[in-house]
Amino acid sequence: MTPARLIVAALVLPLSVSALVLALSAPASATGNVRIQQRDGSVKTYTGVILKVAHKSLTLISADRVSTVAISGAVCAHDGALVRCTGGGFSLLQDGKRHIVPFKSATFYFNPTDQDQLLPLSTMKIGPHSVIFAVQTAKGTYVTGNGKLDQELTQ
Amino acid sequence: MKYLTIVLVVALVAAPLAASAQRGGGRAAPSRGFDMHNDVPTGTARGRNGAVAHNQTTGNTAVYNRNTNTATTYNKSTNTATQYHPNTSSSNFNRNSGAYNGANSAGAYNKNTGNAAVYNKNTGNMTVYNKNTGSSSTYHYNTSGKNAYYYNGRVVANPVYVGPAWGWNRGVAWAPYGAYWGGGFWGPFAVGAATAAIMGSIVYANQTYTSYSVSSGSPGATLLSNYGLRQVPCGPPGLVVIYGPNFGVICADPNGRVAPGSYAVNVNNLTLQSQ
Repeated sequence: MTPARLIVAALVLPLSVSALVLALSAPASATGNVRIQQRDGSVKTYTGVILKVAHKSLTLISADRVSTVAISGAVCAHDGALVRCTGGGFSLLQDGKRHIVPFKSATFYFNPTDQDQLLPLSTMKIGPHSVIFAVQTAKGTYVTGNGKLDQELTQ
Repeated sequence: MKYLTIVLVVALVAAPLAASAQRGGGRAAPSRGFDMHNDVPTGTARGRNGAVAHNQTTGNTAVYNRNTNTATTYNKSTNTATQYHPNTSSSNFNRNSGAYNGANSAGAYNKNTGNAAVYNKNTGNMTVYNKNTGSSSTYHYNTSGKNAYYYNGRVVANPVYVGPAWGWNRGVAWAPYGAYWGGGFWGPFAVGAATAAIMGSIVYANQTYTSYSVSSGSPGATLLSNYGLRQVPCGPPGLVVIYGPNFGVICADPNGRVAPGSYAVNVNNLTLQSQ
C-alpha cells in the first residue's frame, strides 16, 4: 500500500467506524424535547432526548445518556386513534441509582398510527409514532415534552 | 505505519464519543442528564440558606420561611389581615414570599418571581400585592361565576344555552373544585398539572399559566361547543383567550360569534364576557 493510500485509509476508515459505532449506540434521529420546570419557576430544556414507549411505559433518556426517566405501569386506553396513558410509577435513573419520584399526575398520549392525529377537542396534532407527555411531581416539578418515538411497542 | 493507522482510527473514533458524552442533557443544561434536584437527593439542592427563597407549606396553618428558619403563622380559616403578608418591612411578615390561601381558596400560590401575583380567593374581594413596589391596588375578585377574572366588556351571549342561572347544569349551582385546574370546569385535572395534554401557555401579570386540553363532557367543552369554538394551543396572537375559572386558560380560534381577544367565563349562565 502506498503512503497516499495509507493516509486515505487512515482518514476514511475511522469515519466509517465512527459512524457505525454511533449508529449502533444512539438513535441518530432522536427528536425528543423535554422541558423541566422546577418549583421555583426555573426551566431547562433538553433536546435530542430518546423516547420509548413499551408495555404501558414511557421512557425518556437524556441525549448524553446520563439520566433515564420512566413513567411505568400506566393505565392506558384508546382515545380515538391515540393511546392515552395515566398514572403508574415515576422514576429517575441517574448515577447508577434509581429514584422513585412521588408525583401528582403523569399523562402521556402517543400516536401509534402512520398519520397525524388530533388531540381530543383540539386542533393540536400528534405526529405519527410520536408522543406528548406531562408530569407534575409531588415537589412541584413539571416534566413535559414531546417528540417522535425512537422505540414503540404497542402493548 | 499499520500502528499509526490504528492510532488514528482510535483517536478519531474516540473524539466524537467523548465530545458527545460531555454535551450534557440539553442546550440549557450545564449539568449532565436531567436536572431534577428538587425531587431526588443531590448535594446541590440541600443548602440551608439557598439564594432562591421559597416557602415550604406544611398543612394549612403555617408558612415556613426556609431561608430564615422562622415560621410565620397565620390563621387560614379566618379572613383576618394577618393571613396576608403585606409589603412592609416589618419583621413579622415574610415580604417576598407566601402561599396565600384564603378561606375556600382554590389554591393559587404566590411565587417568588415577578412583581405581581394574583391570589384566588372565593370569598369577596381579593388583593393583589405588588411585592416589589409595596402597593396593593390591583385586584380581581371572585363573585359567583367570575372566578379569578373579572372583565367589564361586552357579554357574548351563548348562542345555544338561554335560560336561568345554572340551567345548563340542570339547575344545580356549579362550583369550582379547588383541587382541579380551572376548578374542574375544563375537565378533572389536578391543579397546575395535567391529566391532559398541554396546550401552550399564557403570561399574565408576570405569571405563566399553562393551558391544557379540554376534556370531553366537561362544562368547558359544552361552552366551547355552544360557541362553535375549537381549542388550539395558546401562544400565537389573534386567538380567543378564555380565562377562568380558577386560573384556567383556554385558547381557541375566533369565529363569527367570538372575536379575537380576552374573555372571562361566567359559569352561571355559561357565557363569555370580553375584557
